[in-house]
Amino acid sequence: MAVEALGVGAVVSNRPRPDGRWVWVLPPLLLIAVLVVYPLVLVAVESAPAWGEVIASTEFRSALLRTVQIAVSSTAGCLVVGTFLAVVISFVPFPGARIVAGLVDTMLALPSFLVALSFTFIYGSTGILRAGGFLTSPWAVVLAEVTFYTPFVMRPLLAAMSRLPRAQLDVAASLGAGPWRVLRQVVLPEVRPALLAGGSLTLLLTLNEFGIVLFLGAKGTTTLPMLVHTKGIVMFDYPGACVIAVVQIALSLGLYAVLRMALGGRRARLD
Amino acid sequence: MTVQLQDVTVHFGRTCALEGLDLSVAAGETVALLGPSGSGKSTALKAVAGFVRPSRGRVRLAGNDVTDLPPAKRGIGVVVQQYALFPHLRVADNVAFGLKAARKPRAEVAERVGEMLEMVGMTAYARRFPRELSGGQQQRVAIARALAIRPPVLLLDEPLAALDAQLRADMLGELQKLRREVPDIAIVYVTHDQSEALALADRIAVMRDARLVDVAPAAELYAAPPSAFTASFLGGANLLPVEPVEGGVKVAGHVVPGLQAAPGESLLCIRPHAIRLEADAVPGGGGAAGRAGVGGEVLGVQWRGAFNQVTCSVDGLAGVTVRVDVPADRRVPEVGADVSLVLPVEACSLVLADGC
Ligand SMILES: Nc1ncnc2c1ncn2[C@@H]1O[C@H](COP(=O)(O)OP(=O)(O)OP(=O)(O)O)[C@@H](O)[C@H]1O
Ligand SMILES: [Mg+2]
Repeated sequence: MAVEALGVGAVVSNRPRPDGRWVWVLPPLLLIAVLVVYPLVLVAVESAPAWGEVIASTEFRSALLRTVQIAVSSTAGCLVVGTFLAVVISFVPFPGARIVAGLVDTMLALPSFLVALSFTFIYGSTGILRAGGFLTSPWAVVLAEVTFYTPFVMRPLLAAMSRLPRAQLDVAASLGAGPWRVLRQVVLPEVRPALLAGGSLTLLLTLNEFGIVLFLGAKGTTTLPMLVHTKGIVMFDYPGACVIAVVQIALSLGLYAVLRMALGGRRARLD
Repeated sequence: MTVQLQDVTVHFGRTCALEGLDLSVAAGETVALLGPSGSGKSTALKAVAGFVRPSRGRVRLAGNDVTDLPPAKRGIGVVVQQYALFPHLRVADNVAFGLKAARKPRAEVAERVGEMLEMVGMTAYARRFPRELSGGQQQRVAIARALAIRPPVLLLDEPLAALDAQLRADMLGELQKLRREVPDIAIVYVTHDQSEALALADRIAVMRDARLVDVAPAAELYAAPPSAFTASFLGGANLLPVEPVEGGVKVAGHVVPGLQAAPGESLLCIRPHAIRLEADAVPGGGGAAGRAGVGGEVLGVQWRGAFNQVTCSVDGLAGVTVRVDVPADRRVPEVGADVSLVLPVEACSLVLADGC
């Protein structure tokens, strides 16, 4: 649902609103101001004295780098795996394709730390594979995030692929294009908006991921959300935690803006 | 023979969409597949193109068995009802798609694309996206895209169905013109519109319930339909039950002389424009004797511009209504009037009753 909302939002915002409608915008705006903006402002105010110190610390810089690194790798992994699986489910006829598509929806409903928990049973020091070192490396976090967030890429892709007219694929084949060419030149360009929507949602979610990192990477891997937790809850360095929180928010909002521009820009060109 | 279908049968799960189709199309020939919705026309086309795999039978192209070849290896041009242009590609790139797939040199692609766009009159639109085109323009691009690869066979699946009446008439003229520009291509043209079939096809293949009913040159099929279904589907002929009698056949008590019924032929077929209506001298009918034709009563009159479409009941044939087209310059009988339906023997033919 959230994935579709991204795309839909882009469409709706392009439409000119008739005058007088703005009255209806006020109550939700007020609600957002009270529930979201006010606490954020408090966080920003609280953070004021600690900026110089936190920004200069290597701890912060490496966490920022780690966060972006993990989010980008996970998103790339989700895009590759998700695209592959969506193509297989949509175009390779095999028994049970429907069930697999249903499982994808079920995955979306699970909490992320469950995946992390289950990973400790497989890779943990007492787990089946007994690869303890792997579990605390950033790659374990990436693997877990790819596992958990791939359905977020697949969901919009599957929807877009099911809307692709069969006739277009048939005609492409009749013009001499093999399956690989049809995939690259017809299917992927046409599902690009879905790919972008799913990918950017995943990027946002992985940037802010906390549960998986907490369960898997507590020692070796420190990301910004982890740092907020450590500073604020464990070390009682509240202003420091607030600085990182503000950076985290700026990162998310900035990325969201870029993504909206990318999607919106593309729409504007299309229409 | 460029295209040859032999006993081609297609099943979708348990439904049989095409049953034992035998059909061949020669180079330079246009064959129309005509039939009501769901009769298997598109399925036949898909079997030729390779989009569906027949459960039985063979498909041959220029003598080679292609039944097991994928569509990409057949080199057939296909135009479908909704055109299926690639929305993310400009017109020129749509037309170039097949040429690029064949890895033709850049210069050759550009030249051929220019040639094709010129042929369909779309040169000025080369840089547009499909959504920026009207239905008729999209259709021209779809045809250019299909013909760009110089296919020996062109398959058209209801190419005019999505257009409005005026545009359909215009495009019909353009298709006729196009036909003359690619004289050696074998064309299979699927339609449920008999006027398109009559205008474009050398031969018409009439389909019904997944089967081929009749196939013959268009004029022949229209003039002397071999089956009742073809008679009514192609040109909306009237069908009246007859009994053979000495020297002719008897229709509702009236003898039409000079028609010889072969065994099984029990329906008289006559086109709506061939029947002449005469007002009865004696209102209420004066018996069959002395009448010029079959007695009947006018049930309804619809003005259609160039003619009035009159529906009549037939005395002695309950449940049968006859359609008569009366030219606009002739007097039209009142609804409820008793009339004689004159059936000129030269316009009558006899067909098998095949359950319709
Ligand atoms: N992919 C499919 N799956 C299941 N049944 C199908 C499929 N395609 C066609 N059929 C069935 O096969 C029969 C013939 O379909 P076909 O599309 O060939 O008809 P048509 O003559 O082209 O009709 P129309 O004029 O409506 O296009 C129909 O009964 C249809 O329901
Ligand atoms: Mg069809």
